[in-house]
Amino acid sequence: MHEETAVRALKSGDMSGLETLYALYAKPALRMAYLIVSDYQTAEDILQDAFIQCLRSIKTLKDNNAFRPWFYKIVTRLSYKAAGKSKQTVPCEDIYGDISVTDRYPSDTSYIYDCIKTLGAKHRAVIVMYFYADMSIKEISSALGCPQGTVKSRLNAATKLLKERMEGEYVYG
Amino acid sequence: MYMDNKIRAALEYAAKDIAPKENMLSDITERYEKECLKMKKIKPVRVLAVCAVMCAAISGIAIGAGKIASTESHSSHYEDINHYPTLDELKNIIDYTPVYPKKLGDHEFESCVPVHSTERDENKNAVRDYTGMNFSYKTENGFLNLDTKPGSVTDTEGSESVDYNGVTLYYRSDVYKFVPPDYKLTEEDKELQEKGELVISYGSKDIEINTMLSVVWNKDGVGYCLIASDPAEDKDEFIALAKQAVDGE
Repeated sequence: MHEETAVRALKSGDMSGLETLYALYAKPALRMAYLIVSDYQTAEDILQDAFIQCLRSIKTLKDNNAFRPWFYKIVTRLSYKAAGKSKQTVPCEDIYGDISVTDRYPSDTSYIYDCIKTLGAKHRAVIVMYFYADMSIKEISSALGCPQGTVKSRLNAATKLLKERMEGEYVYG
Repeated sequence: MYMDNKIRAALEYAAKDIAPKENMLSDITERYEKECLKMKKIKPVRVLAVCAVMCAAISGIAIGAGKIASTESHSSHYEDINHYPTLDELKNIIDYTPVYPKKLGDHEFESCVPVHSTERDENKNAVRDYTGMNFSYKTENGFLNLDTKPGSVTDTEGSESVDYNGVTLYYRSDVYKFVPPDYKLTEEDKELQEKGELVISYGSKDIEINTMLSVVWNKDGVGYCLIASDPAEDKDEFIALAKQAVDGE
């Protein structure tokens, strides 16, 4: 079933529409939530809540072709809220304890992600939305309910913080 | 750009093994079903059975020159809206503007659901399709609904009329016997039906007898029916609820 057809089906009460939308978006949405909250169980709860919210309010989606940004908005809002509650930020220097610098980071990728986890929720969320979910500044602004200028400044600040943290302990590349 | 690519790669790497558990979809469906059942104390089929009978009994809708002989209606709990909706939300579903208070007396708004109807003439020809909206309010027992639809109520025979702020309210009280589809009428049922003291409504799982109070009125091209099953309110209190609904307060 095509995505637009699935949305229309769901709006008319046909649950086969949900199966299609789930197949398309469950995995990327769960991954996005996981990257923001850094906890699998919480991310799963967010995914479930997001689909429930979707079922409750699918009628309010005006453009049947705009499901993706609409659904991602629900997921990111829930994730941002959960990340804000958990305050799961870890000081960068505490991540690997006493392991020596040369042994710490098997690759750039895992190291960079560990540094992303040390960011606060508001910075981590914009990093994930922009770089992972490929959301535009406008979409992020709408999802977080803040001006586009704020999103841009958070993105700049988050990237700068990341760079500083990475350069502070590890020469990447 | 180099840094951007590094961040992207790091995020992709961190999330690459993350996938939903196998039964997640069924968990979501099950949870939603439970939520719908919990939110809807009264099954839609039951409410619709009442509304259909009420429409036939008291609220013939005038369309053109002819009268409507029957109305077929259906709704789905998948379409339930479990929050107080804005008019903009409703505009996506219905093409008229109803008045629907957030609270009626002590009854808070609970949910609403679109009802899709087809009206037929005496020859069973479809005369009009429309979508109405039924608003449910919280009650201790039974249900309290404010049903709305585009059009106007014209047949109010047997109802008591009350004028309020330029709007005529039509009140009536009926005893309904809800019965399964294969129910055979007893002699007593037939007798009470003939006297106009009992309305039989087919389609429920069990036999149940309820007193239904209703008030219907028209305002600004919208037909309203406030209906309650075994309400705590007496006649005057129930009419007061209708007046509150007319005012939209």
